[in-house]
Amino acid sequence: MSMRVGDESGRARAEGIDPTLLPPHPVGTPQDGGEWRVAWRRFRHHTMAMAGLGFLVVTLLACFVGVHFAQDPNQIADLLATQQPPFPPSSAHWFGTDVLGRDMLSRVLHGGQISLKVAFGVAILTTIIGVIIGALAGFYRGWLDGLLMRFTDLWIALPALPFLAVAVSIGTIDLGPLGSLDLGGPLGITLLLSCLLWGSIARVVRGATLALREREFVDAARAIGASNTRIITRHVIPNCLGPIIVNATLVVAEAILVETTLSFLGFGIQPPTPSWGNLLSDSIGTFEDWWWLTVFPGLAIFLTVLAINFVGDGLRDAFDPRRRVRA
Amino acid sequence: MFAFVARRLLTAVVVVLLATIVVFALVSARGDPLGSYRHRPGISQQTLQNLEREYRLDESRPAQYVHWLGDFVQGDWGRSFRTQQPVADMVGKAAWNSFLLVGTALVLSVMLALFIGVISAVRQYSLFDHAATSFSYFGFSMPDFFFALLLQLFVVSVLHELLGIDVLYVQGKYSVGQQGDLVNLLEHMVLPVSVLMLTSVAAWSRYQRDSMLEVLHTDYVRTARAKGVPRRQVIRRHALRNALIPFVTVVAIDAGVLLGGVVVVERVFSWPGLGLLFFDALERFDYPVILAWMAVATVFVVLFNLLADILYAALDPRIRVSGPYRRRKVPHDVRRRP
Repeated sequence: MSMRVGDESGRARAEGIDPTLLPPHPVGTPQDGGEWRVAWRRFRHHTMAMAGLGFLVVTLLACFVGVHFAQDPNQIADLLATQQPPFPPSSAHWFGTDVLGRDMLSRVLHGGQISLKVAFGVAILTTIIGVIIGALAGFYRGWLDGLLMRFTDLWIALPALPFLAVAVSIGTIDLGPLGSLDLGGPLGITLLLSCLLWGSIARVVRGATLALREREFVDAARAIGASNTRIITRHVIPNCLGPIIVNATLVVAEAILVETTLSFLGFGIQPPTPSWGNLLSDSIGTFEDWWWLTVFPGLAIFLTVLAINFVGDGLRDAFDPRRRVRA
Repeated sequence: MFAFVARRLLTAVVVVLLATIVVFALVSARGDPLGSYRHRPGISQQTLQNLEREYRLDESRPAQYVHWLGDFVQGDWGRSFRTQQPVADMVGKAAWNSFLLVGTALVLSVMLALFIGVISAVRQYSLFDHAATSFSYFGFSMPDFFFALLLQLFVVSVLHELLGIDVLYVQGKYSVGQQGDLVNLLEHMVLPVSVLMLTSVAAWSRYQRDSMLEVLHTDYVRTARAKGVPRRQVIRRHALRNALIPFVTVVAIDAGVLLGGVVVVERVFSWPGLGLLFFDALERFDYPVILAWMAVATVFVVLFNLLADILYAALDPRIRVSGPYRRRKVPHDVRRRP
């Protein structure tokens, strides 16, 4: 069972990480599978988290599978509609049509594909960067820690939206042998957002690593001659997977909000490629007459982010043995 | 305490310097600052050269940066390409307008968040607490710009068209011909301030609830109750005071972030502040304005982070004793053994 050293949790707390987020005994031991099963059981009892997960699965299926059964988002669905005000929602067009007579449902689904791809891409990239930098800083401490943390502070200090807006307005850059990269395209935006959002994961992992490196099992690994690399990859990182997963989930939500805001302001994904953000900016001014142009993309963002936040909450409770599960 | 502040101040300066290098590199990668001049018919080579000299564009990038930084620190932020006004004046005027929104939102958010947070903690799992939790989720997940559009829709369709009430405005700072009228100003401020408050109240009330709950379960609160101190007094004197320490820190950090929110809000509500200034400058690539704007924003964020650190240390003596890891040198340290 867990033998928690008081000093350690105080240390973790001073670093801003909740020590209860660290597992009570090291993973990579025979209880390993058990730990995950217990977490899943706790998660399953979190009603809102399960509802959020369900909503996310449906959204992902709709955006990535269902979209193939929908109309082409750039095709004018109804020639009659181009000469008239857009059609309100009907059985033929569930979300109505836009000013050019294009099917809104199809545009929302395609927009979701782009927004979700960007968000999950950002979550994966920030997690990789953040875990590497956080683990190195927390494990080696000293000057490396100072250097890496100032580097982290730097990216957190930059004003995110203006920074992204200027970067996107640079347009296509030449990467030499790697070809060229359109900073305003989905890939460019994913990379730019990752640059700005990895700081929180790095801080969390650093805090967890500082606490973990003092634990007995790290001493034991060192005593049998394990290298630093092995200790970090086999003992430290697996033990802070809980906080890492929770944080990655929240980054998905954050990335959706930032990307859609940027696209809404006209500095993100550019039309005719739809994104949840630029669909909303298309609808400005049409508002009082054609509410469906604003409400459906807006609701898509809101509900998806809400679902992710519920899942994040459920995960936090699931990985935290001390937190009671709310019904 | 002095050593602590000095150390933090030094790191803050380093971070700001690094950040301005990144900002400068980014903005100069955006393209030729004089691009719009070069294609203007009738502009002579001489004029262009004079402009290049004035903005030091004939020098190398690092030299440009050093000169720009020197001027920036001394308060000489150059003249706008577009309006020919001094950039410092333009930023100053816009900053005041933004401050009206952010300052109001900050004060109201703090009061509301404290109220909601404390009540939900004291009456945990009550109807009020559940309502507050739902509100927090709503605030976290709602994109600012969508909320702003919904508020505008509500004011225009429901208040104006359905009920015929015209008290709130959805655009600008003053109505035409009503410059300087305080009531008119407030009627314009309600919507943008509400949007700014949504996220911060959602986050801070949640935070205050958690930190209050933690304090309410400590031994000294139980002791105080056991001694017979009235419940209200324990909550106010023992619990609230200690729960305020982390709250103050979070507010200081997020105050810098509120400046990011104001960019979006000003765009939707056409509020003549820093956000609009930035987008105007970016559309026409007004190089000196963009540079100064980004540098000022960075300084603000770092300043508020510094403030948060210092406040935390000043309020909680346990933090500042030394760096948290000075205490114990672990003998088997980092170096890899052969």
